[in-house]
Amino acid sequence: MAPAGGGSEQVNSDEPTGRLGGAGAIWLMVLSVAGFGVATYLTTVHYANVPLACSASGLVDCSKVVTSQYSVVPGTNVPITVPGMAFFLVSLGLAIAQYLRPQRTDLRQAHFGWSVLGLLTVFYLVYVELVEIHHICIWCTAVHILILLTLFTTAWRLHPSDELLTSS
Amino acid sequence: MSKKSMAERRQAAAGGGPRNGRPGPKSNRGGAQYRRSGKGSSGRPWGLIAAIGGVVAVFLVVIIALELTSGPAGQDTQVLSAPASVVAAVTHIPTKTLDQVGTGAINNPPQPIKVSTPKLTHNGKPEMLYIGAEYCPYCALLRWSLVGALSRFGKFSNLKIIRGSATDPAGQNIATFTFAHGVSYSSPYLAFVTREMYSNVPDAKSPSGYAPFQALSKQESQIFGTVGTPPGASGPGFPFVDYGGLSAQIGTESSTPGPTGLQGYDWQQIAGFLSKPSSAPAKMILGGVNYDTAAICQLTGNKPGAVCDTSLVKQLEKTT
Repeated sequence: MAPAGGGSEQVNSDEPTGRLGGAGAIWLMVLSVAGFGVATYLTTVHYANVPLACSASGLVDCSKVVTSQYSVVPGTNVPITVPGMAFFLVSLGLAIAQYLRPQRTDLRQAHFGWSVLGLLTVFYLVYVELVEIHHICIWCTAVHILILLTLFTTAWRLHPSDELLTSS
Repeated sequence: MSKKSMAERRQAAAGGGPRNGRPGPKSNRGGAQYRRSGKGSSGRPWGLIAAIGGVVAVFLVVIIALELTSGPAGQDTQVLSAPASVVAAVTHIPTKTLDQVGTGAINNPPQPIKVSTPKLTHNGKPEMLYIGAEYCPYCALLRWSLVGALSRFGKFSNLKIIRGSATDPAGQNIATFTFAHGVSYSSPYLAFVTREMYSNVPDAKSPSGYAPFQALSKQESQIFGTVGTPPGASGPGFPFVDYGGLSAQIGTESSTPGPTGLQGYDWQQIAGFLSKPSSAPAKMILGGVNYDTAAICQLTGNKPGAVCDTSLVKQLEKTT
């Protein structure tokens, strides 16, 4: 059977998806890389023996946040930013997989579920920053925003506008 | 037929045809196919996205309300004259005790200033500038060391005692001194200039949560901004001490355990620890006295010799 003519909306599933799907997956990759970068930076700051000081500017005090008792995974000495790095690595993997396999809706659903987990962690960390430590860290806030953007993007991509047909 | 999971085939079958009833165009390559649904994109989960936005908004409102209503409570704002026994203990620390403590529990001593800053002087003497805040628990710990070290080069008058923040997780209600409220220092070797930027009086309108107190001069602000920012921080922090432009202390000298190591004690009890060199408070405070002494000796040209010519001070001068 000859391929359809010009104006066709055909896409081969073995190739990256059309503009819409590809752009969304690429955006998720960008968010993941950015988040991994910031989380890595915060991890190095944690281990850099940053002097503990009270911020002269008040609410924003990164050193107090990243060196507080809440800066490690409860019950361990592992910085809380290490799971953050892992979160964005998994997110990146899921984004790449979606780029390569755009028809796999289970990947989109998994990424959405992973992002919901990230949001719950963000809720805990923001609560700790504001209510327990009474200070915020700009870099931590950047990570939280990146997780939120990931969640909105994965939610948006849950129901793609294109429908998949089986080949005849 | 291309290999495809049962789930995908089922999904494709459930997708249905285009709304006009006619099948859409198909590729013949045998791979899976896409077909646009009838009239542009549809099925975006707007409800889910709105729900997520709503949950986040509600969370932020609740958290901000909790933050605003959980202000400092039970803050002790008294300023009292320091008891004579406390003054005696902290201003006359035997050299033998200091030598026994050595570097103590100090893990962030004064460091040489590597950027170009003015060499401060005051009334013809080299100036040691302290910038802190009365609420700040790290400042509360450092003031004990500074009083002990500076007493080896001069004399404090009218020392006053206060308590630090009642709620700061770094250390609550730390019994300490203040360098404001009429406290003075005199020395033939140096000038000690102090700025407590905030008091320990709660003030919800202040960015720190405490009332602004002593303002910095333009030159002091410049030095504070240039030298006083810890690595990884977005701005300067206190305690900050500039030893005449030669070295600087940024943040607490000891974080093991830090101000929480003084939590729960009153001034007499902390003063009592100063004669117990193996105690945690002594290791923090007296270790700080030793490092601060070394930094001051660099400022005074190693005068007086009785203080600066000891082997411990000479050893520590190499690091500050």
